[in-house]
Amino acid sequence: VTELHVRQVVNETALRESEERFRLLVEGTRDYAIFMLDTTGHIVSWNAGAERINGYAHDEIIDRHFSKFYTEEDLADGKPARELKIAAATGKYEEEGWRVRKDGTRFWSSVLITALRDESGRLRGFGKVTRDLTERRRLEQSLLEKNAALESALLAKDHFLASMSHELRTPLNAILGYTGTMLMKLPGPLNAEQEKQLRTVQAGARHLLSLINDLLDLARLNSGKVEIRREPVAAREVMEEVARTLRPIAMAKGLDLSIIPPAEDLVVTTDRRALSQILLNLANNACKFTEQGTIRLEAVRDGLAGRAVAFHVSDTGIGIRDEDRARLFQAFVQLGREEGGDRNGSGLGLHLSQRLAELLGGRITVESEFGRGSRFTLTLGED
Amino acid sequence: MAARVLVIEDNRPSLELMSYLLHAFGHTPLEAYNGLDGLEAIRRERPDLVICDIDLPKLDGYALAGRAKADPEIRDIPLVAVTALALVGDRDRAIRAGFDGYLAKPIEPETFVQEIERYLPAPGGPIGQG
Repeated sequence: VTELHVRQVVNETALRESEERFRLLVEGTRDYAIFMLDTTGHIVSWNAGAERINGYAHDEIIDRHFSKFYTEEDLADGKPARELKIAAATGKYEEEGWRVRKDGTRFWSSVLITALRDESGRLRGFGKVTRDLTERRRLEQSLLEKNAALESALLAKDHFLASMSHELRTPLNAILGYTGTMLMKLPGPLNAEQEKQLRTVQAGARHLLSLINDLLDLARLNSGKVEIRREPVAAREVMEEVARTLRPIAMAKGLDLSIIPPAEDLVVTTDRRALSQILLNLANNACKFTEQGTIRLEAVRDGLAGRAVAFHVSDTGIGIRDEDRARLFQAFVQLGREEGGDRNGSGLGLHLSQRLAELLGGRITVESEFGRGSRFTLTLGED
Repeated sequence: MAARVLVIEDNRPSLELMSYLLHAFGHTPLEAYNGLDGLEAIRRERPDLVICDIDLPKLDGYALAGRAKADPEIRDIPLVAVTALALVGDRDRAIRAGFDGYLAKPIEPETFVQEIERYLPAPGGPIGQG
């Protein structure tokens, strides 16, 4: 036995072992159908995965044409031959599509056909790897359906909100309207007791309206429906608007509601409506919780290089206890009831204001001394 | 100045309330209960001002405004929406549809007539400049 012969035997053994390992790897793979076609598309090898996925045993499928796995529509369309042609021309063909099992059922598969060439470049056949994606496709499908159901539920919710707003306002129109005409004494004079009772009806109806408005606002905020349109807004204009709206309420309580006028050029880039709503809420609260003294609106430049604007709303009202401060901005929290404060609120005003401030990229802070007064500050435009 | 004001509204309590207020402040209210009758009443009566609900049977307020503003005979008659559609964007939608003004329900009885009078043509002035 020559040394050369020994080396040959060793090499052949190594080669055999390598081929054996490779064969075991391919044949044992169960998650992928791995098989080979000759140049005309007849099956020449078949692994365990192919048997599991396609349903054919090794002996019943060898030498059969691979077009067996295609649907009737694909066959009529000439798809099997086209795929081999593309694979031969470009090196490979890849797709996801329906294939047919031995029992006639369809499965959604990921298919890769690779052209196999020898060293001289001659086409020797095709390798085909197929994966059953039926389960994945079923999941995708059910996700799509769930998504569509969610979208239509959101639409239904929007529609519900719009209808609810409309339907609740319509009867309030008659209630507030006729209470108003009677209080205006258009139908005739009122005695003191009638007037007092009508004022109670009016206050109740107004409270109901503000509840409806706040609840709708909260629902819109929660569904991300509040649109923020930024534009340059003159601080002074918005403050004057707010003061004009609230002055009748302040005057009725004998409060001095005033503005410390900011510089004419104090302009903040923000959503005008949201800013005005926040200031209105803060100033309205100030009126509610102040029995005597003053409500003051002020706006000043703030922050680094004066790039932010701080709006202050100060009052000389009942103030806030330290232990209550943490709950102040929570929804449906109403403070000041023990002090005999105005109960006509939804407990949503400060919560909504803080949420709106956050949408504007700002925040509301509060300083207060119980029994002496409060100062709420809305800061906008900080870097 | 007393004006003839057509109120187009299908909700009877709302219609009666607005007519009552208009009458109380010296104007002459005319009434229609749906969009089609309303449009016909505008053409027939040529009122000084129209107050119109949006959620109306037969022809809604948006469509009514579109047709009224496309008709050269009546396009200059001011048209004010008074509606319970009072969510963000509803005002813009009404103005885009052709309304000259917009008031949300519930109305304020103390200021309602004053507010709609703003849309009346100035006495002796050209129509549509109100």
